[in-house]
Order: sequence, then C-alpha cells, then structure tokens
Amino acid sequence: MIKNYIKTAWRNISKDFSYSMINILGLAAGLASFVIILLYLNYELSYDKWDPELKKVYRVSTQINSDILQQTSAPLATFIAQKYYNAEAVTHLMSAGDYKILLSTDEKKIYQKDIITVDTSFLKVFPYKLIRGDAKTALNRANAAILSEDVAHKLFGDDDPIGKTVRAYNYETYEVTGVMQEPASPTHLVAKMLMRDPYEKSNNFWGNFSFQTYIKLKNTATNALVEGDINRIYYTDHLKKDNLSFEAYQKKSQHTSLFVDAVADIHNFPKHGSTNFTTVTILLLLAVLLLLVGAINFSNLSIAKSMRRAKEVGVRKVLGSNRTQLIFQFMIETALQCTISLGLAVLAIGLVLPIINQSFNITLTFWGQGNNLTVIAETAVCLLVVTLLSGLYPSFFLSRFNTARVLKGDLSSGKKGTVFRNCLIVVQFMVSVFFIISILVIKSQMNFMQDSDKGFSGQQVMRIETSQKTREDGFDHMREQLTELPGVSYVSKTTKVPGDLLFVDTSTIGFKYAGKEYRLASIKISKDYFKTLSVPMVAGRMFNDEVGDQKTRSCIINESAVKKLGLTDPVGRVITFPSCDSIPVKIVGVVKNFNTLGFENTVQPEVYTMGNNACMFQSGGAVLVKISGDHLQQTVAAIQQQWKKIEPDFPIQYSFVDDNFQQVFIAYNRLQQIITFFTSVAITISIMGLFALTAFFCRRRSKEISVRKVLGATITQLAFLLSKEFVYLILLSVVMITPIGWWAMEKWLQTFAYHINLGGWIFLAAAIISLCIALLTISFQAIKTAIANPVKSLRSE
Amino acid sequence: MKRIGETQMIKITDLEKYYRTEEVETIALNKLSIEVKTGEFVAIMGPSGCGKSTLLNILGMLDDPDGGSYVFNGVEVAHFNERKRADLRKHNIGFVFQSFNLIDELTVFENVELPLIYTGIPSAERVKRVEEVLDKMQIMHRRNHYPQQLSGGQQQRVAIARAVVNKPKLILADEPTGNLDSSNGNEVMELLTDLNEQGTTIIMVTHSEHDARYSHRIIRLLDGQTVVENIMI
Repeated sequence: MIKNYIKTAWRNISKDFSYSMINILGLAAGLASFVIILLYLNYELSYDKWDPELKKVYRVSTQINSDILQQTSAPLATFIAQKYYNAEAVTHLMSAGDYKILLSTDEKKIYQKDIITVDTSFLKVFPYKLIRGDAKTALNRANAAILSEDVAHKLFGDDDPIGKTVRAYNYETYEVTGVMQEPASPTHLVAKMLMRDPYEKSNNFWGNFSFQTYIKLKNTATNALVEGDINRIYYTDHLKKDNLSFEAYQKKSQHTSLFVDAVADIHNFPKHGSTNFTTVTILLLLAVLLLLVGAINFSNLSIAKSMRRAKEVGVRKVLGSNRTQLIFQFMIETALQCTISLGLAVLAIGLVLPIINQSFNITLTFWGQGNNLTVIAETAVCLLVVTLLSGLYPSFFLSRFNTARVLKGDLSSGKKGTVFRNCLIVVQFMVSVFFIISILVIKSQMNFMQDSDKGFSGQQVMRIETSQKTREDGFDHMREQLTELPGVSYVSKTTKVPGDLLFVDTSTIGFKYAGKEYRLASIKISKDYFKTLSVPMVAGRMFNDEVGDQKTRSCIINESAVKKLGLTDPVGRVITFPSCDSIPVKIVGVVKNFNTLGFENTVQPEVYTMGNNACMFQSGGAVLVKISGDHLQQTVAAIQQQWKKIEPDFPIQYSFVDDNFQQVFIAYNRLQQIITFFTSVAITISIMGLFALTAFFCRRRSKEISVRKVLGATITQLAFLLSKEFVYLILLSVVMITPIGWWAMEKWLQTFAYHINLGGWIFLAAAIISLCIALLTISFQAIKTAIANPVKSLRSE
Repeated sequence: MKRIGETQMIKITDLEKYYRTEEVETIALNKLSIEVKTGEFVAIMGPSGCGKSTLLNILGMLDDPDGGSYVFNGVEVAHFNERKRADLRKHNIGFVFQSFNLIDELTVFENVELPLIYTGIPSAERVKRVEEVLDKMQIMHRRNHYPQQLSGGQQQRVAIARAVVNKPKLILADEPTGNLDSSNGNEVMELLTDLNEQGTTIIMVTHSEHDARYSHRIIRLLDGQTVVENIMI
C-alpha cells in the first residue's frame, strides 16, 4: 500500500512540477536556515564538553561586595587543594586570551594569542591529550612549555619540538616538553601554549588577584554545595574577625565570597556576566519563524491544490479506503516532499557553511566532529515536525471531502477551509513584515551610531602595541624618536584605547571626595592624549610638564564624572584614590565626554591621571600616534623603520583607531547581515507561496472571469477583483504585526544608551514595501488571467 | 437465464434524506422502502432530482440517511461509522460511475489493483487477479496506459474491471452508459448482464429505457418516493 502511496505522490509531484518545486524549494530554504541555526546552537552548547572528566571541573571566582572578579587570590588554589575534602586537583592560571605574545626560536618569530601561564596541576584539571611528551611529567620543570599542534608546526615545522627552546616576550626561555592535541569541541579557555609560571613559588600574596582558579572535584556536586563548602573554609581561615559566625557574615551586605561555575556553563550560562546564548535563542526563534513560513506555504498550496485531488479522494473512499488511510497517504506524500526539501537543504547547507564559518570565524560542520548522532537525531525530529506541521491540516482537509459530493463534481471546500487558509497567509506575511520592520530599525540604528559624533577623532591615529618597558620607563625616549619624524603630530599613551575590545577595562574604583565614595573609572594617560584624539576641554587645562601632573597629584575628569560628583565648579577640587587619603589629587581640567565603548552604554565617569607614581599601578593599553598631512603611507613607513630601533626585538604591531572603533559595530553588522538574510529568505518564500496560490485561484476563477469579461468588465477591474482579497489579507498582517514589532524593536533599542526614536515611518515603510512586493506578485497572475481569451475558458468548462 | 436468489440482500424501510441550506430544506428521499434480493438486477429510474443518486450513495454507504432503516445482508448499517462503512463497502460493493472516476495518476493495472490493496490481498495474488479481470474485460493490452490515453468505452471497461476485481456481492452503477456512444454502451450493459448472470447483484441508476430493459425490475422514483415498480419478464 505504501508503495502505491509513494507512486501516486511521486506522479503528483511530477505532474505539477513547478508548483511542487515552489513547495519544495520554499520549505528547503526554511529548513536550511533552521538547520544552520541548529548547528550553531549545537556549536554553542558543545563548549567545554570535549572530555567527560570536565563535568567535574569548576571555575572559582570572587565577589567583593558588588564587584565580580573572575580572578582569585594567588594562594587560593593551594589553599583549596589542601583544605577542601572534595578537591581532586586544583590549578590556577593566567590566560593572555586574545593578547598576542611574541614567541621566538632561533629561526622564527611569531605573535601568538591564547597563551596560558599555568602551574604543575593544570593537566590534572584539564585533561588535554599529549601527542608528544608525558602528561604526568610534562609540567614538572620550572621552564616547561607545552605547545598545541599548530603552534609547534608554526615554530618548528615538521621537526620534533621536544627539548627545543622557545622565548616568550624575548624575556623568558622555555623548554618544550609536550605537544597537545586540540580539543574536539570549542572551549572558553583556548590553549595554544601552556607555559609554567616562572614565579609560581613566590605567588603567596593574598592581595594578588591575578589568577583564575579551577577545581576538579572527586565527586560531582551542585554549585551551591561546592560554594558553601569552600566559602566556609575560606571564611574560617582568612576572613573571620570578631568571632562572627559564617552564616552571620554571609548575611552582611558588604562581604567577600567565592562562587563557582561548572566549566560547561561558563560560555552559555555564567552565574555573572554576559552570554551569547540570548542571541542564539533569538536566532533560533527567527529560524523557527522561517520554517513556519515554509510550512505554511506547503499547507496553503496543498489545500489550494485539493480540488484536483478531490476526485481521487472520492474514488479511494469508494474503493474501500477509510479516512485514516487517506490521512496516512497524504502524510506520506508530504513526508516525501519534505524529505526532498531536506535533501536540497543539506546540499545548500554544504555550500553555505564555508561562507558562514569564514564570516563568523567559527567552525560549524554538518558532519563530523563527533556530533553525527546529534545531527541525525535533530534532523529526523526536524523532518517529523515539518512533515506534521506542513501535512497535518491538508491531510485532514482532503480526507474530509464528502465522497458523494466530490464524485458529483462539487468541490466547494466550505468557509472553514478558506478562513484557515487566510489565517495562514496572514501569519506568513506577519513574519515577513516583522523581518522588514527589524531590518529597517537595525539599519537606522546602525546609521545613527555610525554618523553620531563619537566625541573624538580617530582619523590617522595609529595604535601601536608596545612592551611594558617602552610604555613606562622608555616612553619619553620613544616619544622623542617618533615626534622627530615628519608627519607625526602627537605621541601619547593610554590604558584604555577607544574601541579596544581587548582587555577593555570597564571597572570602576571607589574614589573619595568630600568624605564620600564615588565609583569612577581610572585611566592612565600621557599629557598629549586628548590632543592626539582631538578631545576638547570644557574647563581648566590640559596636562603639561608640571610636577603635580607628572607625579599624579593632578587629574582631568570628564563631564560624566563631574555629574557623578555633583560638582558645578570642578576645577581646583580635590579627590583621592582609594586607600590614598593622604595623597590629594587636584582636578585641573574637565574634558568633553567622548565615547570609547560604543553606544550601548552611557559614557562612564572617568578620571585621567599621568604616571604610576601614586597609589595604583596601571598599565596595558597602547601608544597612540597622530599623523597629520597627506603623506600617511610615508609617515607610517618611517614609523615602522624607527620602531626597529625603539624595540628591536619586537616587530611592530599596529592598527588605526578609526578601524579599531569599528570593532564595536562588528556584532551589530553581523546581526544586520543575519536579519537581512532571514528577511530575504522569508520574503522569497512568501512571494513564491503567494505566486503559486494566486495562480491556483486565478485558474479556479477563470470561468467567472471569462463571464465577467464577456459582460464587459475591463482588465483593470478584473485585476483588482482578483487581487483585492490578498491585499486585504496583507494589510491585516501589517496591522496585526505593528504592535508586536513596535514592542520588540523598542525592547532591542533599549539595550542602547544612545538610540533612535521609533518613528511611524518605519512601520509605514514596512507596510508599503510588503504591499508593493505582494502586489507585484499577485498582479502578474491577475493580469495574466484577466487578459486571457474568455472563449477558451468557457469552452473548456 | 436470469437467476434470482431467495435471500434478501437489501432492505430499506422508511428511508429519509434531507439536504439543508440556511434557508431551504429539500427532501431527497421521503420514507422510501425498497427490497432487493441476492442476484437481482434492479434499474432505478426517474427524472433529475428525484433522489436516484442519493439512494445509490446511501446503498453504497457513501452517505448517511437522516432516518429509517437500511439492512444489508441482515445487518442494520444505517448508523455505522465511517470506518465500519468503509470496511463493509470494500468487501461487498463495487461501483461503476457515469464519469468512470479512474485515478489519472495511476495506470490501468494500478487502478484495477487499488481495491485489492485496500482489502490487503498479497502482491502476487493481486497481479493474478488483476490480469484475470483485465483479460476478461479485453483490456489487457492497455494495462500500462494511463486513463487519458484510453477511449471512453475502454475507460468504462477499466472501471468495471476495478468494480469487480474484489468479487463484490453488489455492484452499484450510476448511469454507466451516460458518457458512451450506443455501441460502447451496449458492450457495457452486456458486461453487467454477464456479471449478474454469474451471481452478482446489480443496482443501476439510469435514464435510459433501453438500458433498463437489461434488468429484472425497474423502480421508478418521483420526489424521493417509489411511484411504480415494473417487473421485467
């Protein structure tokens, strides 16, 4: 029987090939988008699951009052290892993350990111497999280093690296003791090189919060249990004062505590901090909408085609088929088309994935990477759901036909079918209009951000990476050498470069003013920093060579800080760094607010000081060089030449601040690309559906049209008659989606401190665009029917 | 020689059927009572709208009556549900329509095979039985053709082949010659007569006095009621 069903289904597909292809292609587009997002979701959920042992690994972080620190005190790891009964191994580490460190051998120099400074226990907690060397002893030596396969290859080619030496920062020398295999799935802690911490033994200072601590438990436990245990011992041994009980201390509003995250949760579900998972969930929701649009096409076209199948239904019923068998038959037919769609979707995915991987810098694969079973299961479920979604209603609809009536040629499907079909069209266009609204809003917000005054000029400002030595003690010398070059106007440094997303320091510290604490950001700069970025002063003066400026007795604050401090006349007032009450810092100037972090947040209140002579040492950031004149290339070349003398051991690494600032838009550019893609697919599917649907209805009404024409109707009148029903439906879609779209877009815009105001024009434009697209689609068929020769149609009737 | 059994195959009593719209109610069958014996060949005649096709649909269990009783082979079937009706239909009744109602997407062979599939006959047996009946209807040479490739007479022969392949006890024919010329029409009537002579009960709706003469009995309907019954000798 199934053979008969498949045969009939196949012949029906072939008979109505173009309409079947519209069905199949529409669904394939929806399916392809959905599966790609599903793969992305799998990818995100596969973080830190590359070894079953990782289920027992937790990261420990610190909360001091309301401040969250991923770092913990230096001796905490050893302390937990000794005191916590459930600790199998504990390690602490410092990851350079995206910061590139110079690695050199006798023959090669490379800048490499993802280098981690580790202790001897690292491999006991993170079960990396070594393809060379012995995991048990590889980190025993004080200068041991383990390389990933690709770094080993970059540095030593095909030679065996074991026993060879690598210099880091041109300072420390390490001996390669192992080569590790890349983990099979992504991880929050990418390790391209592990270096033993040369100062491991001297890291005994509890005030040194430079390390991340990870515990591997003997037995798995809940986060709350682990936190309870380690906080109790941490409190008893290190925090306890005045015989206050642990419970009483925990209840205090101001207290220090530790918290843990299972490593598998760090990427997607961290206890504190941001996560990408919301975006992934939203994308999945959008992909489901696309799939729904495809499935709706399918249902609608099947129902529209039903009049052709009515006779078959009648005959099959007469010959003994019951309704269940008919539903089953139509479901098989739908399943067959869905399977073809899925096949085409898989082909499309194969073509599109490399482009997506390149654009988004990820490694999604449909097959391989140990996710085959998951992908097969998900695809099977997806096929089942789509088949049910697409086929269920048409199957019930078709099998419901009254045998006696359809065999007599009465094919009217009743009002119910029409209402349902119209509802589906409305839902389909609601989705499309929603996408159009989204793209208009995102585009407007992007334009707004790009065109807004950032408050500074990064044009022709070079950002150069330097060693700490050049940035601190060697800064004046370096500045002199660069400023003597023609075209170089200013050379300055800062610990916070606008648009820098690497090591961006958004933390604030508790400055004191008039006996009260105000949390402000502290930034170390050199005297020409504001001139380099053309940031104007609103009061007071710039830094100069005065002793007070040089010795961190003067500061400049921004307008946000003035507001936060509640000052009307800030110049001349005195603030102090935390724990430095005896060293006053005088406000000598106020700069206009300028945006360094993008437009999501308001400009932070900031305090700028020079040098590291008082209270707080701050380093990092980069050197900025302002180039004036039209000979940019020559000046950059001259700077590159000069740099070889300034830092002979470190090849220059530079970028431009303007380009740098574009990084803050990267996420939104991607979002715009994704939504554009979704919009195009949704509209294409809807157009295809509408086109086919209109064709069917025009064909069904051809006799009526012919009669009207014979009676004197004009082509315009006929085209209007055929189009008006769909136009009403699309207008209804626009009306229904507008409040939802308004709400969703308002929510999204609220994530920006600086954003556009939603105007009615966006919704009007979306309505006009949708209507134009729909009208173009409908009118093609409507006019074709209206200008057809009525004699043909009447004769065939 | 026309053989009529003594057993009663169909007995309908006070059968009623109404068609309702929002404003009008039309009575299609008005307390109609008819009996048909096993092996009988009955022709139902009457003007358009008299209820002939409605009666045939109810007899074929394609439609529900609104009142009265319908006993088929001793079983009251008037209130059977869709599944039971389908089951009874596929084992006992074959249909022949004026417009043939062959499925365009299936070949001659596949169209005739279809009732056997629904009754769960194994594949080898199906092939044998379809070939037998196609041979009998002299349409074997067209087994791989699609309905559109056949003449009207050939299509009706395929439809009859399909109706008889399951060896039904009853054949319901709704104006079987209505779309055929007289030569093809006569051929179809001969086929139906042969089937009847082999024991199949036949109830045929027709407008043609000529065709009606092939039957044992003519029931004439008017406004959903029997007005006269002619016994053919």
